[in-house]
Amino acid sequence: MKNCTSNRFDIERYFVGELDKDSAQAVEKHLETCESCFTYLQNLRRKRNEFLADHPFSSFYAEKAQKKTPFWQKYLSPAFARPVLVPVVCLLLIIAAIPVVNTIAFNSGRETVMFKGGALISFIYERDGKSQKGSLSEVFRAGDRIQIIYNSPRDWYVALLSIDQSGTISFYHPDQKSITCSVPSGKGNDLYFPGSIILDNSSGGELVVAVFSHSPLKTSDVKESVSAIAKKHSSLSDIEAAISKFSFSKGSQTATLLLRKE
Amino acid sequence: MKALSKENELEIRSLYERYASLVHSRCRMLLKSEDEAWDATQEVFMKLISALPKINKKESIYSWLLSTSTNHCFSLLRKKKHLEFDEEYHTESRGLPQEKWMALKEIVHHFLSPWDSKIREVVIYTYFDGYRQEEIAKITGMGESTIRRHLTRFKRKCAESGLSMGDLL
Repeated sequence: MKNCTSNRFDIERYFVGELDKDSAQAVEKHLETCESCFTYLQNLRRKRNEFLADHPFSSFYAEKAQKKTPFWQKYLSPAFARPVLVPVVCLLLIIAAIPVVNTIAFNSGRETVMFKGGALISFIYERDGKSQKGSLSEVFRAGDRIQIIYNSPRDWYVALLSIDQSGTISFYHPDQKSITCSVPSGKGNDLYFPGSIILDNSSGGELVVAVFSHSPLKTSDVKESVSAIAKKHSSLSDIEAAISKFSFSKGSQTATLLLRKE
Repeated sequence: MKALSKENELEIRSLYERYASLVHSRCRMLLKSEDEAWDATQEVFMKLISALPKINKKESIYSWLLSTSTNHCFSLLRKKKHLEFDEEYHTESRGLPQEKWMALKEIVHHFLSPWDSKIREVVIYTYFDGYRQEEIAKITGMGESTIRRHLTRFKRKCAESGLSMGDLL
């Protein structure tokens, strides 16, 4: 880095996704030829992975962000809030909460796609610096950042790609030099795919495809299969239907989101 | 602090996963302690959560975090009575012999602490982070001539005190 004339601050802002499209493209172009900057970026990515493995969001959230006074202490009278009554109060609260939880689960505004095996994907998007819940009824525009969130009941591999109206296929992988397009999915709920999709100004919609598989998928194989499907169908909804039925590898499962664009 | 709504939680989670590793690296660099760096990272993120509605949408969150984490770490360093020299960490990880570490400690505690926070930031970005002046201008919003003036004052003060940052860092 020391001998490189590039702007290290810009590479760090590229790493966190703060640069606009033109600046990001300039950094990407520079990274293609500058080994020291590319290594620096890879180190940032490696450190982020190590950090998040040691300090996942849940640890921060549990320790700090979610600290609050239990509401029974706050609202119930001290006489009622005796330790001996706590289990009784908890039981009453659980009973009272069941219909509320059911309502939230079935009427949530976040669009989700459930597929066989229990995995689930949903998304949030960032527009003008503000994050919002993703909804398939939303009309998206160039520059919107889509963050895919998924539930994975087991340790799978997940690949993320998108197809636009012109049939262009884009893969989203933290390591651009990787020959596979899959990353370990991890196991649990509300997991974030490492990286996000920034919508470009191409017209029509954007079909986002997440493929869960037992082993990593080769980018070239997936691209070939998706291209063949895209050539056979003219509309993204037809491509979506065909991809949903397609098996990328034995036991693989596919979830899709068809996003409308301005 | 109020409990976060699901929507806010998702937003904070997104910010955490994008920025927290950089904040943590910075805190570890300044505090030289893994545990303290993790505590500081959490504190800085709590500050971010509180400040988020006030941060201008056009402002870089990364610049805000750089500045806030630097000032937060300095505030912690000022409160500490002394810094411990951890031989294993400082000689093997940083390659600093004890005498240089002691001199660095002197700079951080007794030399940098009384300075204006803006000058301190410029010094830290220059000597600890290795940012160039044009980059510091982007981060802090200061003009490059102001940055040069701060550094010149700092170097002059170093020279008067017989300290050489170049030898130390």
